[in-house]
Amino acid sequence: MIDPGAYRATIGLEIHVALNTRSKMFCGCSTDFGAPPNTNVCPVCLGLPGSLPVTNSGAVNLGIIAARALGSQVRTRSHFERKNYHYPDLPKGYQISQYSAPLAVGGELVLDDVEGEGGRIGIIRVHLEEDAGKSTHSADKGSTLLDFNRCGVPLAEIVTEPHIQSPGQARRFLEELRALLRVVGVSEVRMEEGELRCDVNFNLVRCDEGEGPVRTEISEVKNLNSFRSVQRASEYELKRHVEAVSRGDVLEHETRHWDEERGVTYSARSKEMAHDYRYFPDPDLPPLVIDPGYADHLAGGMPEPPRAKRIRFADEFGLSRYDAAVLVADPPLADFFEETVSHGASARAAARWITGEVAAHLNASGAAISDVPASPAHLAELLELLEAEQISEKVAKRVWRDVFESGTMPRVIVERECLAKIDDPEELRDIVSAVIAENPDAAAEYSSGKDRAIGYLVGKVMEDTRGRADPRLVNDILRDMLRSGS
Amino acid sequence: MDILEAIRSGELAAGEAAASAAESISRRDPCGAFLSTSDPDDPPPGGSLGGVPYAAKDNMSTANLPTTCASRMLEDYTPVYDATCIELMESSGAILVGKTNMDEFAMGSSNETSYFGPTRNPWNHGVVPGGSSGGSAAAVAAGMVPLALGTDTGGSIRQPASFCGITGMKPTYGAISRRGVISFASSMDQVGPMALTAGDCALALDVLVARDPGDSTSVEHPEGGGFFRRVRGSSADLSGIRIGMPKEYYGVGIDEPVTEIALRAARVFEDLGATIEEISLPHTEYALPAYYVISSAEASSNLARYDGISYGMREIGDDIDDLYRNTRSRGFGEEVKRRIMLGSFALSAGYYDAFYLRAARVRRVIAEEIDRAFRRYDYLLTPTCPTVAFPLGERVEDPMAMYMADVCTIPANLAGIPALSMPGGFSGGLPVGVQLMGPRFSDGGLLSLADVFQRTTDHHLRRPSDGVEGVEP
Ligand SMILES: [Zn+2]
Repeated sequence: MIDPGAYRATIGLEIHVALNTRSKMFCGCSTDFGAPPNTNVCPVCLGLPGSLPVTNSGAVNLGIIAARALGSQVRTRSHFERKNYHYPDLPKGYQISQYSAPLAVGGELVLDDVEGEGGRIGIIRVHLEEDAGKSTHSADKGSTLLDFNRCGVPLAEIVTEPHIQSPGQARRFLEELRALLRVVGVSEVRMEEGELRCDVNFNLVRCDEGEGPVRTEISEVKNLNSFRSVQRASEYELKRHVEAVSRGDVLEHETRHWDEERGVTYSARSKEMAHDYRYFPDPDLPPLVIDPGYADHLAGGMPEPPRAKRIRFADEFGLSRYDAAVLVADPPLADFFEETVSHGASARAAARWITGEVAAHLNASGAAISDVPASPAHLAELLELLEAEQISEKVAKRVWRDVFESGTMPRVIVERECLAKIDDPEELRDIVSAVIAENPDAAAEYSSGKDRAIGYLVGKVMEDTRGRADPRLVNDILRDMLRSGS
Repeated sequence: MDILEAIRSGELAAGEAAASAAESISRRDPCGAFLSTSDPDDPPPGGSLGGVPYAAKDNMSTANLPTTCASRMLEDYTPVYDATCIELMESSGAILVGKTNMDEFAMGSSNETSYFGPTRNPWNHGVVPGGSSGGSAAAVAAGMVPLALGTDTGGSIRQPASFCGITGMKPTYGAISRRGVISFASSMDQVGPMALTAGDCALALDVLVARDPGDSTSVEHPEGGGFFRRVRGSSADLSGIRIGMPKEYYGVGIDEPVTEIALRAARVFEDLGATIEEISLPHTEYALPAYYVISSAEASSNLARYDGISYGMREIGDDIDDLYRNTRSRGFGEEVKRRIMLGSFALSAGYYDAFYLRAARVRRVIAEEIDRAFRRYDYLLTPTCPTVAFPLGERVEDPMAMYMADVCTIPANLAGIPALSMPGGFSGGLPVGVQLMGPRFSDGGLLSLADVFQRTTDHHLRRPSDGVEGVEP
């Protein structure tokens, strides 16, 4: 009897990510998304006869940064090769890619241990290539429309070792990769613009000496364009492979596609798998020669990777792992946090406020932190007022709303609107006696022993002072005055 | 009269010469040298080639003029941009009068693979003009234009220059931009001038040789711009010049009169003071197979873009694969298809190492062997082709015999070095060329050597009797 429990999932990913350049990989056309079809094109990216590619050094730089961010070794000499196949949206009949001598080899991405999905995921290689165009099949007219705006957009392909052990971990890997690539400026990774696409290589490997095959044949699920699809497709493959093993079926090594609506993968036509891409060095392009010093120079200016930053936020600022993760996941907010702290604010208070109030206002307004007038200096001042107990938490939230909209400094708002805490006992005594006078019934109830009535009176005082009174002080004064019957 | 004299004499003023050349070509082209002619505008003022009419091989992109590569595939294709070499010629004041016939996609050595029919040799309409730049060679030989541009991947400028009795040069690889020149084999394709004399070729190089940021394989030439001055200033005293004669180019398969003419040329140089020595380049025999593997491999990929989708011929079918099959089966001629098949095979899984990779290694060995020879010799002198021009139809059914026509010219393409063919004599009434090769960037020296030869010989002055009226009197 074969025990499916003796097998574990083995997943490797091939990720294509669009590099954050203004122009294409081998020509000067814009990479802007959303332009009218076939407007960002020229003889080079249309593959017109006689056109020749010229490598975009900006794309190479971003490839080097991506590689170094993943700890990959950038080769001093690599070259472009042609991957030959026919497809209508591939106008040259080949894609310029890298094969036998990729830009970089090795490396790893470390996932924090959350819900048992941590681990080190090895990187096999990072290479550069150009994107193809877009085919849109119009079923009713029986025609295919071609848009070459994407054609020639620079991509980095990142290939992992088959170290990923669960569909959830595959998703975690992609999230961590996206955070890393964004932080180091390699890609915006806008999923809705197709800036990240992923192939999943899935199989099962037996962990013990028991019965059944040592491993199942690999399924290659192609061209997934969301993290959710990657996870779901992997879950589907896991189920399919486990069932096959339980039944004693033998799976074939095959290419599969993902049907998002039905939630299933299905086998590609066998013809699609029979490709022999006939790679050979592109004779139109000289080899890429990258001086190690140059790669060091680029890597030297690289921002701190997310994982290192999470660790630092926890160690240096004493943040919880959760707060550190939330902040680091949003680099502008993380910067905002660090600056707020550098203005003298308490790190924990700043983290609590940024992940709470600040994030809430940003979400509600849909604005980016860089677009609103509120700055770290504003927040630091607000937290200072709060810490010195010059304003209440409630008032602080009100003040922040004003700061967020107007950019006025908190101290100015507090003074202008007389929002400072009233902690002068004499002033409070006057207010309290007025409240007692206006609410004789409540006062009488307290005097007759109903302790609850005090809460009502405190509430009235807070109401009259618009939250500025110190409730503890008000409580003490109330009891005092009611007891003394004044 | 050479081009410079014609410019100075005012004969080319105001584009009259170009206009009359274009007019006479469209009226009478007995050799079938041209595939299209233009209606020349008035030339821009000035420029080093102001008013000079020239022809360009039909694989050079010209906006507003069809660029067919002599293929049915591109029969109706007109580019949206000019090749860099066309732009440079235009900015020099030269006037494009037409596009010349060629072997389809520059694959061939006789101009017989042209979809539009062969070009004939002006010296004898029963023989081929050579190829693949046969139309350009015939146009110059017949006096229709004083200058034509060709491309040379394995001898496609030098071999037709030899067959048609003109001077043709393949410069150092990378010296002239390939941008806009329709690729055959990218690592060897090179644009070059074809004219009556080495001096005229030098004038063209002064215009064409420039580093082009639009071609990643183009290079900065240390002598760029100074070729004509160097040629004109060169001394006829060749003392101290060492010329090697690789014996492998004089052996089996080379016709006796051809060998004899090369030896006579060597004696001319010797009389002018040069040292002539026989040398050996033992790997030469591997050049031809290495060339056909590499050039076909690159071609199989370069020609993949002709798929019937965005431009060019389209033959529809039941589905996309059917469309590809129909378009490519009918759009390409037999020789092109043969090379695409050969090249695809050489790159395919399981054969790549044994064919493409091995050929690439052989290429390196041959290039190193030639480089070593240039440590002891300034130039190499060989026949350009094993034979004189052969009769039309003779080798059409025999690809191997056709490929042998390039046996002497291919090594220069593999090594990326400059080489030229100049008229060296006649055999049976047909011209015979002599080839000179030099190390990388010796283009100016090569042209000077050829110019010195042409100062003391008159083979280049003989013209075919049926030459039509052109600039040449
Ligand atoms: Zn473009």
